[in-house]
Amino acid sequence: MLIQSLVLSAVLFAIGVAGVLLRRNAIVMFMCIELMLNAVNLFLVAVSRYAGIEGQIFVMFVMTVAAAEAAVGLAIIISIFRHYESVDVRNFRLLRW
Amino acid sequence: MAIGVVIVERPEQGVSYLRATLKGMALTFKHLVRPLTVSQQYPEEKWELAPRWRGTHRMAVHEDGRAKCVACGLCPTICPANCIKLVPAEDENGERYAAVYEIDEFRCIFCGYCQEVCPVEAIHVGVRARSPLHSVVGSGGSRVGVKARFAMDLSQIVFYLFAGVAVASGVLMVTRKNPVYAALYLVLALFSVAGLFVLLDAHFVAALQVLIYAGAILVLFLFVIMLLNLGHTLEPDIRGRFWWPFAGGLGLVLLAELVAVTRGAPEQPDEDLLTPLLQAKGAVATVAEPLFQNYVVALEVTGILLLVAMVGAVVIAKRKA
Repeated sequence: MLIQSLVLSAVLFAIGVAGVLLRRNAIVMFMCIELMLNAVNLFLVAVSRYAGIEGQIFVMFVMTVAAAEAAVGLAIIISIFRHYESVDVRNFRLLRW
Repeated sequence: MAIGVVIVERPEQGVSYLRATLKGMALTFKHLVRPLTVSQQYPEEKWELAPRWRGTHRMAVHEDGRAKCVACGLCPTICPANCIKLVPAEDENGERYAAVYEIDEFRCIFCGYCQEVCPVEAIHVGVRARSPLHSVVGSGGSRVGVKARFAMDLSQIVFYLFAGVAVASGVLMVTRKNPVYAALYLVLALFSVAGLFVLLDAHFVAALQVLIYAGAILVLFLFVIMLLNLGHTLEPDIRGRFWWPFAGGLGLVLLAELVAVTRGAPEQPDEDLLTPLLQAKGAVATVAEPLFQNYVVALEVTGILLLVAMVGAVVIAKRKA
């Protein structure tokens, strides 16, 4: 089941990448990033059986970072939305608001 | 009327159920104050087996490791369940031995006749081999193989089920216009990945996945979508015709590269490091011990990271005065 897990994590990661490139909605782009992070988590868990338990430990840190990233990123989106009334990334041209 | 029959006067009406109920309640309370431990905490404490307990079979061996069986054929003859398969053979010294000796443990009724009939006391149905998962003499039709194969097939099926759901909901998440739908499909994908974590024996990570990802993070996403009231502004936010082949092609290239990398993984990988740990320590301690011993500094740093992220989110999202 190792090989299948690795291939599945590659597929999920590619879907995430394609989503980030395809969408203009910043929130959906964030979701695609979460999917990519999750694909990496799947990879780490799959190899943790043979490479040591550190894989699962690392997954927890990835989850923490994902949570922090989601909180800060969504706060930024809210802040930008107040200014432009939109979450379209075409509006995000200036690094100020 | 037949002899010896006693007619008992049973009042059919006017009998209150109260007395019987109270009697039952009294028994219950008696056990409440003086609990009788009748439950056996099975895997921790095991039954004391009688010395004559008849368990699964065990072949006795000589000092040099040769099986004592002389392939006389008495045990397959006497076996009432007809579960012993014996093919005799002779070695170069003219001594008979069992070339094939298989006992179908599914069919065996554990009568012990084979042990009684054996002229050289080669076969034992004894206490030492009582576990049904113990390896059986000549394990041809034994329970172990059947069970392992069935579990293997089942986990494969469940794996492909979860994998299919994860990929399908991932694609749907990317292609749905409505961000609420996208978020819900992401929940589905994350749940499927949690199921895969369970299949991969990472139970604690699966619980975290459901709690943190599918719970906390997705609720945050949905909260922001609804706070900004984006659920029904279906402006097409998917990029135009030029981007489709670009994104799809790039995704495919990336996929091909990653799959090419996984081709390098060995078909039969090294020894399984996880299962002995899980059996020794359980699902939580397996990850908790290294987390709080070797990686405790990193753990503290993530705590600070979360604090910073929390403060940062509040500051950034705060409405300017």
